Amino acid sequence: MIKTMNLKRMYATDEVETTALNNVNIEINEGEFVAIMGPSGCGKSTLLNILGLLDNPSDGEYHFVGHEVSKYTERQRANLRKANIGFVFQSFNLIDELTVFENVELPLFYLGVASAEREKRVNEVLEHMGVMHRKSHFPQQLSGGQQQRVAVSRAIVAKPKLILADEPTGNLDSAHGSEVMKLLTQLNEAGTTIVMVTHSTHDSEFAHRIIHLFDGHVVTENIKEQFHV
Amino acid sequence: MGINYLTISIRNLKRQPLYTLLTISGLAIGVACCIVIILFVQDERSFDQFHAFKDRIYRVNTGMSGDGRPTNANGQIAAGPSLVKEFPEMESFVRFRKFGWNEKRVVAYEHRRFYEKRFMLADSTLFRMFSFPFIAGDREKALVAPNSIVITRSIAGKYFGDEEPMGKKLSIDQNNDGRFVDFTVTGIAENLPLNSSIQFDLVGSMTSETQSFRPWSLESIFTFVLLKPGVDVQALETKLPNFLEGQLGRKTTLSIHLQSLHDVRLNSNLNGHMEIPGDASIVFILSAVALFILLIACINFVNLSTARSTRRAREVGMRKVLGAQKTQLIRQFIGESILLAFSSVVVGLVLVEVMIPVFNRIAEKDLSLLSLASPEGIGLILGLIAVVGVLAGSYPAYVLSSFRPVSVLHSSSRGGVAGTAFMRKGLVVLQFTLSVAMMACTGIVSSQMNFVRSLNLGFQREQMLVLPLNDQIRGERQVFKQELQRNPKILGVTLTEQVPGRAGNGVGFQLEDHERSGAYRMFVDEDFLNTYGIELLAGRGFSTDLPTDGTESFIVNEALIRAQGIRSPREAIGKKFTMYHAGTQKQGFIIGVAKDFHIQSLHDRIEETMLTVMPAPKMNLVTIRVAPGDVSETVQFIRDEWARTSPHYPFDYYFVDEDFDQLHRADQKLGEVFAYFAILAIVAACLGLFGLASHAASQRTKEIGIRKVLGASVPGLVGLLTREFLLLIGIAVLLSWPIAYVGMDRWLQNFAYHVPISMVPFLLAGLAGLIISFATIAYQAAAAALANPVEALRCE
Repeated sequence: MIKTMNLKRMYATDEVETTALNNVNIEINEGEFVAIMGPSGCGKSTLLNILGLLDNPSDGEYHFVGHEVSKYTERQRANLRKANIGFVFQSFNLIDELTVFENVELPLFYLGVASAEREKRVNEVLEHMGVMHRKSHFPQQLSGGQQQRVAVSRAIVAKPKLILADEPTGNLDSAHGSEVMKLLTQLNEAGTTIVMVTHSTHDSEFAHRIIHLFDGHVVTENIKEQFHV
Repeated sequence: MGINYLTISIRNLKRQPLYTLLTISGLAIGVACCIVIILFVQDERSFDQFHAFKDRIYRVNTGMSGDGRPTNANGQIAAGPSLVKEFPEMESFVRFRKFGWNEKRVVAYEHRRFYEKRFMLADSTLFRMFSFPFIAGDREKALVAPNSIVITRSIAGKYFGDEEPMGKKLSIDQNNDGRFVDFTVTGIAENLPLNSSIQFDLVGSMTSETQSFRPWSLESIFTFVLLKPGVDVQALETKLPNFLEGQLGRKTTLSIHLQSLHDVRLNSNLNGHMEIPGDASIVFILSAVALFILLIACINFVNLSTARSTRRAREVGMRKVLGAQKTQLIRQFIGESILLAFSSVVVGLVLVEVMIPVFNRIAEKDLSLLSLASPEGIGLILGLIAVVGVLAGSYPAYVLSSFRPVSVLHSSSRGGVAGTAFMRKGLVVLQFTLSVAMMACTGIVSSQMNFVRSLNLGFQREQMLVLPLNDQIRGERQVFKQELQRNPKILGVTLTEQVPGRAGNGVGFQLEDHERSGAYRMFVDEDFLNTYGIELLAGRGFSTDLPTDGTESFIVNEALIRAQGIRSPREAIGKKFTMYHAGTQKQGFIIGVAKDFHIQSLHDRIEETMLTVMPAPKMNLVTIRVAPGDVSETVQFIRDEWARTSPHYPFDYYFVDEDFDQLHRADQKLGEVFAYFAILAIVAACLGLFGLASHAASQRTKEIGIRKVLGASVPGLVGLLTREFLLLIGIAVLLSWPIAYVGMDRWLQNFAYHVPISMVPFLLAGLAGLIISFATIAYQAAAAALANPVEALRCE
C-alpha cells in the first residue's frame, strides 16, 4: 500500500537548510498496524505528513495505493487523500463552530456524498463510537475522550483504507487513551491499515511493527512476533 | 452544504461579537453613504426622463465666443421657427420666455396679490412636446389663444381656493411697469416634478410683444426642438453654420448647437439657464467620496479578518485535510463576507433613513428610500451586497484558504500567511490617508467659504435691503427717496437695473480711437456709488445737478482702463466713450474711474465694467442702505413708506449679502456634505483601528505580562502598544497632505478669488487624525497594561 524510496524532505530558511527526512525507505502493506517512534524532532510528523499526502517530499519516490505521488499537485493529493486516508490528531482538531454531527459529516461532504446518505452514515458511525447522544453538541462541550472518539468517527466515516494517527492518546488520560487504542485495534482488525506516530511505548505495543526514526533516518524496524502467529 | 457554510458563518459571527459589531457597523456606514449617493445620482439622472419624446427633444444652445463652442443655453426669438421651417428633420419647436434672472412679477386675482417667481411665456406646442401631466383643459390647445395661461395645481389653490379656475382671469404685471395684462386660465397642470430642468408655476401664451424682439439678438429665450424619429443629429448640426449665415445674410461668429434633453441637467456648463443646472463634477466628487468611505469600511473587514485569521487556521487546515479544495474554501469565505455585507446593508438602510433628511436639507433635494423599491433599485442593492462582499471578502478568503494544513495542525506555529501583517499596515495607512485628506479638504473648503463671506468686495454688502421696483415707485422715485432719507437710519437709496453680484449683462463700447470692445454694464442712478460705497480713483461720481450726467457720462472700472492700455485712472478722465446697447448707441465721456468691485460671484474674475445713468424704466431694483444696529424698526419704516407709495405691490425684500451668499450656495452645500462625509470616514476608519488595537493587545498579553513582572510602568506599556499604530497614522497624515493639496488646489481654481492654501488645515487635520486614533487605541492599550500580569501569564 505504501512504499517510499529514498524519501527526503528538506526545509530551507534564509540561512540554514535542515534535513528532516533523509533516504527513508519503508514499505507498509495493507492491513498492517505500524507505529512510528523516535525522539522529538526526528522527523516522525514530517513522515506522517508526506504519507498522509499533506506535504510533498523534496526528493525520492512515494508510492501510495499504486500511484507515484511525490510530484502530485495539491489538488491531486487532496483528491487521493479524501478518498483513502483518515486522520486522527493528538489535539483532535475538531472544528469548534461545528457540532459533533457536522464535524463527522465533513469528509463525506467533500467526497460529494448525497445528504441523505451522509446522515445515515454519520449516524451509524456515531452509534458505533458511542457518541450518538452527543451529536448536537459542540466540541468544547465534550470531554477529551469524547472529543477523540468524535475525531476517530470523522476519520473512519468515509471508510478510508488508511488511518494516520498522530499521537492519538497524547492529550488523554490513561483510561481514555486505552479506549482509543482499542478502537484503533478494532479498526485494524476490520481491515483498515493504521500508521501511528507515538512517543508511548505502551501504545506502540498495539502495533504489528515499530519503525524507529532518528535524525531523519530509519534506524530499526521491530517486527513483533506475537502478531505473526 | 450551503446551509453548513451559513451555519458556521453565523456561529463564527456570534462567537466574536465585538468584531462582528465593528465590521458590520463600519460596513453599514460605508453602505449608507453609498446608498445616499446612489439615490442622489439616481435623482440627478432622472431629470427630464418623464417626457415621452425625451430622446427626440433637443435644446438650441448659442455660441457667442466665436470659436464654435456653445456658450449660452438661451437664444434668439427667430431660431425655433426658422429652424423648423428650414429643416424637414425637425418636427416642431417650443420657445420659453423668461423674465430676467431674478425678477418677480405681481400676479393678482381679486384681492389676492403675490409675487410669482416662476412665470414664463411659451409657444402653444409646449404641452404637445413635453409630457407635463395635465389636470384640466386641453393640453394641445391650452396655449393657442393669446393671453391664455396654464397654471399648476398649487397656483390654482393659492389664487382660486375652492373656485373653479378654468376660464378665470389672472392679472399679471408682465413687464413690471404697472400695466397689468389679463390672462385667461385655459389649463391646469400637475405641480412640476422637482426632477425637471424646466420649472414654472404659470406659463402664458407667447405674446405679440415678444414677437417684436429683434429676431437674432440674444434674449431670455429658450428654444427646444423636436426631431423626427431616426434623425442623424450630428449630420444635422453640420448644416447649422450655413443655415445661420443664410438667416443673417453675412458671415458671423455666432453659432447655434443642438443639445439632447438628456444632457441638459448635468452637462450644461453654459451661461443663461432657466434653472440652475446640476453639476456633473459634484456628482463625481460625491460618488468618489462615498466609494472612499466604502473602501475604508471594506478595509476594516479585510484587516480584522486577516488579523484574526489564525483563529480559523485549524478549521481551514482540517477542512483541507478532509479534502476541501482551495476554491471550495474561497467560496465559503466569500459566502461569509457576503452574509456580512447583507447584514451591513440591512443596518445601512436604517442609517440611510437617518441620513436622508440631513442630506435633503443640505442638497435641497427630496430623496427617499422608496425610490429603491423597484426591480432596478432592488437589483442595485443586491449588486451592492455582492460588490461589498467580494471586495471585502476576496483577500481574506485568499489568505485563509492559503493556510497549509501541515503547519496549522501539527506544530505550534500559527500558520500565518506571509505578508498579511505588512498588507494590514498598508491598508491602515490607506484608510487614514483618505480620512485625514478629507478632513483637510473640509478645512480648506470651510476657510474658502469664510473668505467668500468676509472678502472686501469693493462695495458695501451688509445692511443693504433690496426691493423689486414697480411703476408707482418709478414714477415717484424722487419723493420716495426723499421720504425714506428723512429717516436718519437710512443712509442711501439707489435705483439700479441689477445689484452687484448679479450683474452679468454686457454691452459693446468704444473708447476714443481704440477698437470696439465689450464690457459688463451696470445701469444705475446718481446715488449708486454713494449708496454702495464704491470708491472712486479719479474723476467724480454722477450728479443730479448736471443734466448731462444722465445722457452722456460714463464711469468705468480699473479693469476696463487697464484692458484698454491706459496707464492711470486720471488719464482716462474726459476720454470719449460710446456705448452700444440693443441696437442703440449712447455717446459721451468718461467722468470717473471706480476702484474694481465684484459684480459677479467670486468664481468670476472682475472684468471690464462700465456704469451709466439710465432712465427709470430701465431700472428693476431699489437698494436701501440701512444703518447698522436694530434694522427691524427701519424695515418697518420702509414697509410703511412702500405701502403708501405703491399699495398694490407686496413688500418683498432681501439683503444683498444674503443674495451674494446664494451665489456660492452650491459650494457651501458641497462643503457641508463633505464635512459630514469626512466625519463618517474617520468614524469608519476608527472602528477598524479599534478592532486592530484590541486584537494586538490580546496577542501581546503574555509579552505585557512579562514586561510588567520585570517592572514596566503602565504609561510605558501604553506607549509600547500605541507607538506602532501612531507611526502608521503619522505616515498616513504625511501622505494625505499632498493628496488634499492637489485636490483642493484644483477645486480652488474654480474661484477667481480664493484663499491661499495654508498649512493650518493640514496641521489641524493631521493633529485631529492622531488624537482621534490615539483615543481609539489608548483604551485598549490601557486595559491591557492595567491587567494583572499573573492572569496574563497563566492563560498562556
